[in-house]
Amino acid sequence: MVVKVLFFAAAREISGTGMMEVSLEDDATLGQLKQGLVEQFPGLMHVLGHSAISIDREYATDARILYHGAEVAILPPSSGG
Amino acid sequence: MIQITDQVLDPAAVQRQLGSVDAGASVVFTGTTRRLTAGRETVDLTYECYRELAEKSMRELESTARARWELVECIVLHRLGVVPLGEASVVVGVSAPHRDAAFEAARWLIDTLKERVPIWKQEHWADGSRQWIHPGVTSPTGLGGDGHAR
Repeated sequence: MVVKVLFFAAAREISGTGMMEVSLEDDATLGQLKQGLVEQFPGLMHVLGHSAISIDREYATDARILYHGAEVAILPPSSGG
Repeated sequence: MIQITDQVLDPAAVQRQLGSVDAGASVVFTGTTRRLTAGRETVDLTYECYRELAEKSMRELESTARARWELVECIVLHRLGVVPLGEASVVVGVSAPHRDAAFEAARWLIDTLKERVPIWKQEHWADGSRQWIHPGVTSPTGLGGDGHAR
């Protein structure tokens, strides 16, 4: 399956992209996706550890099983206002 | 009413939109770009967001505030992109029959927006460096936010 990953703010700066598509084994979890992202972008580990993640605009935990076409967003701590 | 916009925000226009014969009180909070943070000088701030989730979160803030307090009007606006010194990045306006609800709701809306809505600011410091602000994240790479007044 293929999921879309969105990066914002510091996470976007570290990965060098706002969006990428990632191929995963069927039934891969969000935790496995995060592990793969850290392998690809080691500098992301620290920010990722503090970030919330959404799947199709709902907040999700590492145990969640991903699905083809999911939109996964890496959301570092907010600083709006 | 909630809105995320690239346009300049006008707190006076928000104040006018709060007017109602059902309201006995109105409060407008305006957050603006400040020159000094812990002695460091800011040139301007740049804001970005995850628009779909940010709009959804802001709509939830409005409906929670309306459920919790008796409000007449409730307006939350956030600007994106570069916000120069002195200009508004966020405006929260509420009107209510009584002032306690107006004060409390406005305070809760801005505090909760800062905490929950996926919007981020990047400092552009006077020394030319740029830094994404992420409260609670400190790292040697210059990313961070600890100690930054929120």
